[in-house]
Amino acid sequence: MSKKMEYDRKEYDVTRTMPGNWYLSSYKFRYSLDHLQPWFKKLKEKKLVGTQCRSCNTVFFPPRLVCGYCLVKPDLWVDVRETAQVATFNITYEKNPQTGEVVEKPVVCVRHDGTDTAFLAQLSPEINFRETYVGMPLKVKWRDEPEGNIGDLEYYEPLEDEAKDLRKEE
Amino acid sequence: MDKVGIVGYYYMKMSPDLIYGRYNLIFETVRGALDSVNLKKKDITTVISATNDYYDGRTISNAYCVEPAGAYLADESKAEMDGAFAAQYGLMRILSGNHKLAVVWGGSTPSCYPYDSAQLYQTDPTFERPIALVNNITAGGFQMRAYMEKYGVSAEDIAKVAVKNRKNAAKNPLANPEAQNANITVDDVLKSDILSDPVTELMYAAPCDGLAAILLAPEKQALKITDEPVWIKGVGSNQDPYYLGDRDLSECKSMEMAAKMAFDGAGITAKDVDFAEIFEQYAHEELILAEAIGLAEKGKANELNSEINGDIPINPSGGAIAGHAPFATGLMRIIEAVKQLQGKADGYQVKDPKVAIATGQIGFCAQNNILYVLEKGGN
Amino acid sequence: MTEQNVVTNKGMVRAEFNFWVGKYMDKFYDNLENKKIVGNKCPKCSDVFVPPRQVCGKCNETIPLEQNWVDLTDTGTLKNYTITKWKITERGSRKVKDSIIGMVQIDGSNTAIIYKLLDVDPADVKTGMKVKIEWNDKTKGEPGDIKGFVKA
Repeated sequence: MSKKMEYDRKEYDVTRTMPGNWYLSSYKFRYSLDHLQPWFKKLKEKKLVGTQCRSCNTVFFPPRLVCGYCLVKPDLWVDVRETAQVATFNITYEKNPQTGEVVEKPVVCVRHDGTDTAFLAQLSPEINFRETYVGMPLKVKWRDEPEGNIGDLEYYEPLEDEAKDLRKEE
Repeated sequence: MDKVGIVGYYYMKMSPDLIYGRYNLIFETVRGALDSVNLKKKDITTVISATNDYYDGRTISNAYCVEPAGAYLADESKAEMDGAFAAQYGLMRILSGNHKLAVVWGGSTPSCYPYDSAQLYQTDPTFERPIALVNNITAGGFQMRAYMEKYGVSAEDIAKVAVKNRKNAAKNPLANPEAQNANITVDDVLKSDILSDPVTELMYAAPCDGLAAILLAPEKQALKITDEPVWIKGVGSNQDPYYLGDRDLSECKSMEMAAKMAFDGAGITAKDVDFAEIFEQYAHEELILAEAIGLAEKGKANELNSEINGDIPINPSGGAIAGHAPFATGLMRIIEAVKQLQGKADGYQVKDPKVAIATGQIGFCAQNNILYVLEKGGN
Repeated sequence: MTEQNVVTNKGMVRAEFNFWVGKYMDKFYDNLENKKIVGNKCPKCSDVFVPPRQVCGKCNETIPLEQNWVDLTDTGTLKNYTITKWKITERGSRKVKDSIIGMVQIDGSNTAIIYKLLDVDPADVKTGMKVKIEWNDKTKGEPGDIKGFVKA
């Protein structure tokens, strides 16, 4: 026996309203970049580096100002390889408001081998994103003219997964 | 009340524009407080922050500051009022028995946003905000005129307070450089730019950038960490009504009741106090609050000798006129009182103090007040 | 902190609100549109509030909606005043001509309202002098209907 949810819609009194807008259009946000300047220089030469905290041995890529676990500044620069893996991914559906057409778009987080942090990135257009899985191996594709910011890591290309046929047999 | 001690502190040198990112500033302050007593990050169990969404430009502003403040995988909370109120929250957490070390920090950077017009948003949106006539500067003008007309105090007497505070700020190495005027006279104060008659520019505590942090611990831990902790003997807080038209602005009833609550808890009277660090937004507020605490009779606070070597020194570090970093000033009053009790204030030390007062306030014309009674510990 | 690189971004935060004024203020603004001032009276301590309140703060008593309304006149006494030339806007303060702002207690009430004083020299203003309201020509039921106070 199904029960219907009925509720009385109360008539409430309508009074005047006063507009109260909050504008913060003259705020200035400040960020210090002194921990990122060596990283930008190496990116322009198409080389990858990261920082490591001496007390807990976590490697941060991109470099970070403070290691939250130890409350110190990580200051040991280490080498980072170009291979990476997919840490997690998501498929979003965007609806065009004019035509009503639904488009699928992937959102991917990658983590370089040897580091402990993941960040948002783009996949190469050749990959069929419906077939991505956690742990898929990738490699960096650089921009033709690197400028010295994070956009130089243009997208990630697929690599051969050596253990793929072993997993299929199970 | 069980004994809770203040064991460490740190605050940055204030300046009109610290050109530095906020993440970095918070890390330096909290790390400096921990390094001053050789503690590690794993000793921290709870962190209280005193920040404001509007002054930071982002909502839930303490979520961004979790890592540099040492709250990674620790208990963290926020009090959106002055730093002295966040210290009361930290005190309550330690008295609950669950925590062994609390970090309380606060501060903001008013060089990034228009401070005086942001105060307009404290007013009532249905009646006062559409005409936009009340903000902290006009409220100060009303309060000063009410005080002057009721007790017959002249503008020169009030300017003498501003002169004393600015000369004291010149001896304080961490004060705002714009407020360190060692050779100022009463004439200079009265002839400066009028903000809102009769308040002039040099009588007003102008906002500047700064941050501060203190460490609190219960009795057993405090004696292990340092030889000279400063005990909090009593605390009291109270609040006035909201509209400016409801209150009598020449006195501060909420500070009288807060002082009574704190003195009863500590078991002392106003005569036992050796010196006071009062948070004042304008020079005349120091007189009104000193009368409300009980250090002088009504209308006679300008006759007190409040210099550093006088009968009852008030604001030996310069008070809020020496540098007002919004939300850090209450904590700085506590830190200056602790420095004087430990004997570490070089150049502006009061002689042999034992019991002190530190106050904090927030709201137009000292609407919400809090008062701490601090006692020297150790030997 | 020797050599640092600091990047500054400008922020644009904008939120638009509409506040319901409530039933008590609605009645107050209805009377303001007809160029009259009304107030509320607490049944316990007999304080008269302008603008009206729902709860008396001292006694912690609710004042009922349909009773205890008091009609008041246009005149009042000046309790406090200040002279400033800074104009308060959301984006910063600007310097304009001198304007006198006063706290006026309407005769018969116990609270004060804050408005400008018009047509008077700063040297002639004294606390305790009698003032009266100057209305706007077209009233719309908002706080701007009272243009200011003039000497009575």
